[in-house]
Amino acid sequence: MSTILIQNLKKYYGKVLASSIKELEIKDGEFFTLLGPSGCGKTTTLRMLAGLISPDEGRILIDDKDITNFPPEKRNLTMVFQNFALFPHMNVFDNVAFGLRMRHMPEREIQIRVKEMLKMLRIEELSDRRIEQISGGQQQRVGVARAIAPHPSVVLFDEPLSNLDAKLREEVRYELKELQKKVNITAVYVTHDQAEAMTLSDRIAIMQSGIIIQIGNPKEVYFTPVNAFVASFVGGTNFIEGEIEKEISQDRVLFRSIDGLLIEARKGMVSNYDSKVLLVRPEAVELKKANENGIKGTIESKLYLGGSLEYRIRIGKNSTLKTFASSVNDVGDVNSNVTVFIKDAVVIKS
Amino acid sequence: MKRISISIVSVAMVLIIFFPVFVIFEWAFSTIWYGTSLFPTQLGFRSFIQVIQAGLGKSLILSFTIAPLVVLFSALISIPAAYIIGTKDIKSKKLIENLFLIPLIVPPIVSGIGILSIYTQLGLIGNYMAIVLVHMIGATPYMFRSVEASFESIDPSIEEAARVLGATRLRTILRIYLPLVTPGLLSGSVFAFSWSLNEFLLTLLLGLPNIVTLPVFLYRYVGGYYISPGPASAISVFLIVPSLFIVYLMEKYIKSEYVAGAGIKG
Repeated sequence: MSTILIQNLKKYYGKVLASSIKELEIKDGEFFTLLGPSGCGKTTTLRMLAGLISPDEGRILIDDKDITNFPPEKRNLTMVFQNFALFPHMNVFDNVAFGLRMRHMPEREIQIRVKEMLKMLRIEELSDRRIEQISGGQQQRVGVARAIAPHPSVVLFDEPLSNLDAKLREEVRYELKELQKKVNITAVYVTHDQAEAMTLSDRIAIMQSGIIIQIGNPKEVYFTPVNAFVASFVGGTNFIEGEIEKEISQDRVLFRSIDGLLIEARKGMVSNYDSKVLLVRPEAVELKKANENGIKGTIESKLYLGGSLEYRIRIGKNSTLKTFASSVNDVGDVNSNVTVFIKDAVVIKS
Repeated sequence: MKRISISIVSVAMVLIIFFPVFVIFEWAFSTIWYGTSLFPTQLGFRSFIQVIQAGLGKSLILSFTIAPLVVLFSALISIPAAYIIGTKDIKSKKLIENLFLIPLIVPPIVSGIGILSIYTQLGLIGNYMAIVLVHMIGATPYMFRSVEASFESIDPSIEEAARVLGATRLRTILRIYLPLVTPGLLSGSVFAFSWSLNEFLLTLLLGLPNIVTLPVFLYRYVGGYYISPGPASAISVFLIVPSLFIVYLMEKYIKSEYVAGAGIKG
């Protein structure tokens, strides 16, 4: 368990700025996620933390010790890899024991620790198996056990679930969550999957073009994104163009859409000079039969998704809203009128 | 059709490879044979006794101590080079790989003449270690390409995993890479070993009078005004048997893909 401090860290690939982080503190015991599309610099940042690539500028401190120029093996952090990167010539036990042996732990303690790890990840019966004899999900469990066995100060995760199929991914994600509660590690996790980021993280940093554009806990990032990019990256969106009509209170405003609709919304993090847009999450839209008090809309399209229905509602010449409803709660067919209630909306940078 | 052509190829291979070997054994173990009948007139060890008296023992010792040294030293220089070129993104990688093939392209007689004048000046003619070095010219490219192919096939994140888990670069090479490149190392060793065992021209040019390896010793019986197939065949047996034994060991302990992978790729 350790605190990580990154200062003015920069890495160029040729002339392209791959990653640039001004200041970032990852707290002791925190599960911190770098979230972003591919090529946003999240993996580059993680690899600089690991010491696998060296930054062009800046410093990395772990517990106030400057480790910027330390080789990977001197940093006391470990890593879980996207493609597992297990040692193919060793069995499961020896893979997990590797980090302990490198730390010259007595063989008797290694036996105990490895067994404990395998048990925690529910793979103790695989101890003597060769790597190619076990499934992808089991391999990544070995990868995780190998990384946490030496009790490193930080564990780095480089998209550990993206090589697993959907069902396994959910299963291992759940196990990682359980594990995180049990062992209380400082973790830096890189992913492009917002669901992983939301379920696992204490805080999320969203990156774009090498720069962190927002840091916050999953709720903040989801409900008060800093701009439209973050909003659409972490969930479904409806954007309504318009302007702030007036401020109601310190953090609430009245928003006037370009169609002239007035919608009450949270002010979010916009300043006066930003170009603004209103974000309405699909689940914040409630549909009722027509002739109730609210915004009038027309169903433009309706899709059956099995358990739920996806509606697209036109509420003005230039604005539509996407929303979901349970399929037992059908409010009408295409072209029928409905009343729309917007339960939550926030003004963000466009 | 397919079956027939496979059979033809197989029969041809058997004839080309085994028939000469068979004849060698016949000559080696014959006491009286004029070569006109299918089998020797009288079997016996006369040819072996003759070559033993002529100094076979010394040649055997030379050949079978030089070859392991050639394998050892060519492995020692190939492993670090193959590690860097096979696992790191370096510029002009293709060029370096091709440079390693030059020794196989330059005819031995050409390099031999060049080395001859250098060795003469340095007083290295007939020097044991100088011959080891000369054998490495041809053996190292095989060793290098074979080991490099093994390094190349290893996922680079495996090295990264070892490093973040606390292994230094040296320990990563010893604990992770070496076990994983062992098949390539073994097949490279087989090629280097048989290269050294069979090397004739450079050893003849640079080794005499002290260094008479088996092929040079054998040449005495076929290179003069007359040919003595009996003693020459008896010496050949000592070249063939180890080779066959090695192939047998390879087949038994190493998957054949590794051996095939050791071939020089274009």
